[in-house]
Amino acid sequence: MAEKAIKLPAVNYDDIRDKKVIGKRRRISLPQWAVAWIVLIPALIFLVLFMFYPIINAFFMAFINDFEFVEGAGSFALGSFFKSLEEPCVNWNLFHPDVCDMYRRMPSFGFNNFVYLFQDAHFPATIANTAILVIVEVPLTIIVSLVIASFLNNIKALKGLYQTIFFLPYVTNAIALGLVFNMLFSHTPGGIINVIITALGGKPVNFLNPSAYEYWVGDKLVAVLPPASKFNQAIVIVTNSVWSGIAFKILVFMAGLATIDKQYTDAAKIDGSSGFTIWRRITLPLLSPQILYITITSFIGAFKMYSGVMSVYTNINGSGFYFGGTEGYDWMPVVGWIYKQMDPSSGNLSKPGIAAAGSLVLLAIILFITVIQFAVSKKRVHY
Amino acid sequence: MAELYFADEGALRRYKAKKIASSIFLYTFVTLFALFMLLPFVFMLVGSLTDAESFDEFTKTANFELIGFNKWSFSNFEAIFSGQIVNRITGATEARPSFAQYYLNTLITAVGSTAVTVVTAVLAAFAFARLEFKGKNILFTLLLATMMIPGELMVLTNYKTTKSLDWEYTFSALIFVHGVSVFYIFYLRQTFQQIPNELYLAAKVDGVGDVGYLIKVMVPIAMPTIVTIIILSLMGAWNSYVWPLLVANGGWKYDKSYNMQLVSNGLMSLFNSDIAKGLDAIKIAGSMVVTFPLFVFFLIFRKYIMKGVSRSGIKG
Amino acid sequence: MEVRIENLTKTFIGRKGVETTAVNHMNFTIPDGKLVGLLGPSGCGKSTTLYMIAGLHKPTDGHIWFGDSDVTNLPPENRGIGLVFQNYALYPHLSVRQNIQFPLDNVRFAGPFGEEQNAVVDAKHDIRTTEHDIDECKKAIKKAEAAIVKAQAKKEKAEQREDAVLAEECEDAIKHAEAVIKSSTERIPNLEKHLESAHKCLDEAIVNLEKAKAAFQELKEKDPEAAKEKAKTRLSKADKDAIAFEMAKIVDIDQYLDRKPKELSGGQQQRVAIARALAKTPKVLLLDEPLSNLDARLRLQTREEIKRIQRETGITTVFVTHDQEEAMSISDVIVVMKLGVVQQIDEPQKVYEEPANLFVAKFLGSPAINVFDGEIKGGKLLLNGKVFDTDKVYGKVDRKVKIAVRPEAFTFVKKGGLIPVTVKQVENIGRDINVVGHVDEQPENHLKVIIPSELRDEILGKEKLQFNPKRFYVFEEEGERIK
Repeated sequence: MAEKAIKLPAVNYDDIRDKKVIGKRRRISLPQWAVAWIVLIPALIFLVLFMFYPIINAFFMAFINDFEFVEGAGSFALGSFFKSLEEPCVNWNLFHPDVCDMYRRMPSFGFNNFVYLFQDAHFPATIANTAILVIVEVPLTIIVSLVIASFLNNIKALKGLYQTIFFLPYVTNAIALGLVFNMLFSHTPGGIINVIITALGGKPVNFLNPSAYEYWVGDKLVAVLPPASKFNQAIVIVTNSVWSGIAFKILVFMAGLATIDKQYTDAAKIDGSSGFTIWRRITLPLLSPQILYITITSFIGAFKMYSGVMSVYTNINGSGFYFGGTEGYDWMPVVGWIYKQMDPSSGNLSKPGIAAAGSLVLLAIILFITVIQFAVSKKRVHY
Repeated sequence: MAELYFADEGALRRYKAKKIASSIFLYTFVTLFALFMLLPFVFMLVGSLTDAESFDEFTKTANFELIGFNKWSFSNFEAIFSGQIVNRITGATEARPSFAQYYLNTLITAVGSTAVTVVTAVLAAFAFARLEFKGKNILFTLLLATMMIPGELMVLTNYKTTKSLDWEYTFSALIFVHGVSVFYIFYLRQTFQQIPNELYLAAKVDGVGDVGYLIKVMVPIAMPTIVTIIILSLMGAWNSYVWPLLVANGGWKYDKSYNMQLVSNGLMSLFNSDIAKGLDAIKIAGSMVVTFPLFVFFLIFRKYIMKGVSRSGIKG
Repeated sequence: MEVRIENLTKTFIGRKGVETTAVNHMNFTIPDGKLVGLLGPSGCGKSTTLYMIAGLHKPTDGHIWFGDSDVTNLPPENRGIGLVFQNYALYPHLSVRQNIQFPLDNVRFAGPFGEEQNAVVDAKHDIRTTEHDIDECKKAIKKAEAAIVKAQAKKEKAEQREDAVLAEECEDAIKHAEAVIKSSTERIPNLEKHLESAHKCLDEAIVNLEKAKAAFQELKEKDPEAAKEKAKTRLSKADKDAIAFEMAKIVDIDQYLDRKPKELSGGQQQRVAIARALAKTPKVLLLDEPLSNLDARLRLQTREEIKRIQRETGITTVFVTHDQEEAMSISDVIVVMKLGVVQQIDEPQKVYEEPANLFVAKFLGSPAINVFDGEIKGGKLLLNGKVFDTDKVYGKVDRKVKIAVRPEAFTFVKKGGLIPVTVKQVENIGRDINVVGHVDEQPENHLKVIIPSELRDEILGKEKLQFNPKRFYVFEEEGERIK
């Protein structure tokens, strides 16, 4: 054996063996599936209680005609359903305890909630509102981010600083920034945008205010501004959403651009292609996975818009359900409408069945968009 | 880049000129856009530092002498943090909760919900990435499917459940109802799956069990991802608005005099308050105070946040 | 530590319920202190075998013995093995030092009087089981007695009815019960004796424990430092540092202890992995394709390094490789495997010179062995119809066979050679000349002959050459060796 034996450390392996170690130290080893379920318990408790169950419950709520929660029946929709079968009386007569002043309508399953949705004066319009804003906002945001990302990719000095600046909106509070946008687009002479417009020789614009405004500068009445048109309001909403939406997209596009091998663009340069040709013919196709990803997530995310729109109106009406105009419905998105039905200020959910039905319609729209986009993208994306 | 060669001096000069022109164009465009991005922040800074009445005057007259350095004042911040708001235009005064209180409430919620989220995500991701058990694929598919579903669908029942649990106006409602994030589980599972299987076997040879392996090997290796999750979760809690509005928009359950609103809700109630009517500068200062801590947080953890967000591909 | 593999079998059940046998009834013994190479093409079950020895895979059947103890059902951490993975599996978040120390964190000692305590526990356990056995015996006797009474009564009845068959059955039952009573009664005194001695053992153990406790108490008062040292159940940080340093020195990476694995080269990472495997002072060191992730130059160097470390530590080492040259160069013993079955176990030279079958002959050696078709007719071995071997009389059955000759085992003859060759190409590689071609009439059998370069002039430009074999093997068509 060894001519020059190495002295190994004085760990006697027999001592290490479990059986030599005092009995109580012996480890009990659980089978893997048991360990798995044990570690899953915390997440599962929350998931089941606050995710799976609410989703299933929402379907019940939506398909029980004119669903309402019955006092003392808990959050489960069928609980309220059966309780109202048992106790059809809502109001007992104060003086004759066995006389019922008001009966509950007998609960039944059906499509009443959905019928209500589409007979509602505003719900169909909220879908249109959302669709219009999404169709304008999303492509605009993507194009702007794509351009800026491509530009940033081509500069060296101060790149980090610019990247940081463009990322700032990501960490800002939507409501705080909504207020600022409201003030920037204020109809008063101190509104910065109007200052710029008038300085350039234009007429002042009422962007958001639902009432007419006499625009005085000093002692001179410059103009009487009409109430803000839907178009003017949309300018602010879209600007705000582009401003706050590009941060994330620029970041994702920059990350995508960083993975594109310089060889491709160098090869094209040697062939004498111009910068724009290279961008259009090489960079863009190679970036298509990121563009697809961003497009899909943006469309889905944008359809759930709420606080971005609501926040630009907070300085006019901060109820959280005001979206322009005299009634507050001008640019109300679907989610805003759903929240308005819940009316949390009342301390109870006033129209849960209708809100649930509205959410299901939203879900259907989102699923529809996703399916369409996957179908379209299959042909278009280079991987 | 590959070295380019040119036929003659002229071609080289033209090439150089083109390059300079294009970079001038690039920088001009990018700088202008950066200024557009910064405009709201500049406005916020100037507005919040201007005396409230001066600012009100400014909105009516567009007289720029009324704002900025010559009217420099911290009175708005004093009002925000003391809660004592004096409206000198209407002559009314009102004692509102201090923004320091909102900070505290938000911090409690953010730290609590982040802790719960991270623990549940690490454990669940561990099960999905490392352990074999019946029903794993079905459960995971089910989880992924929930990512598609809009939160409004769940809010209704969760609100009712919160009431049934008697959690209204407690921090439990803010912390536990969003105590698990499918996205973070998914994100962490991917990181865990990238850890080579041999490390697991090596640890097994060394006598480290499944849970020991998670704590001693997987968590340290996945630390960058976990830090990203922590940061995103903290940011998400800081900016949350709808849920706290539903379940905790007022006094604490156990002591109604203690206001438990979070920053966004506090800010919103300031906007809505009668006392702040016409005091736009104070509202701006409130916005500034809500935005500023995240800015500092961002500047400290800039690398982590930007890397994490671009990798995770989510909106916090 | 001698490692003995006994009838080892591993079958995996695939996705669609299809069973694949990775290791099939394998038997071999790895002698103590030797370096053994498990060699075979990929998918032959060599890694599976290694993982079963390590305890990471549970065998479907068979046993693994380390020395005298059966470790088949022991978890990996209790087997006393060190395992080095193909990609090293270093913990990326730990420094080299921490990586080496990682296995030591789970090392537990018995404590100041753990031995004595264990003796008490063992004795108690022994008493309990013996008492249980005695009880069982007594119960068995009672049961048997009752059975006898019952059978007796039944038998009497049967006799009255003159039912001979039933009577005989009862007689048998009585006999059986009597046998049980006899064996049990015989066993009881033995057990009682054992119980007595066990009680003595326990008393002794308790006394010893008390003594040990007293001794420890005394030590505590006299020399608190030594007592502390004795009382420890884990390795101290100083111990662990010392071990890490010692291990690092063995594999020559002691200057990199504070680096992270990714700051090291592949070869250095490999050494760290070996150091980590050695840290627990394993009885058996297992290496899974230890060189496959290294470049050619490092491979040669590390190969020697592994050999040196194995020699110096004297640890029984098993390594898995698909590279025959690697296996040949450092192993003391080679185990050649194919499709989960061991083909041959022997010293490298023996395996090369005396391959057990055609597979082994083909798998070892570079360039590969030349195989061409022959036949046996009337007990004679023929190549292209001519007698090839005059020395040996082959079996009576006429059949086709394979003749194999190593490239270097040819001698050039000018005339009358046994192997006529058609030349395709002659490669000059310095010391030697390679003749590439085929045996006449067998163009499909590729042939490579290595001859010394002095013969260059003789063969250059010739299309036909003749060779005689220095040494040759004959195999059945199925691969079994005949000569």
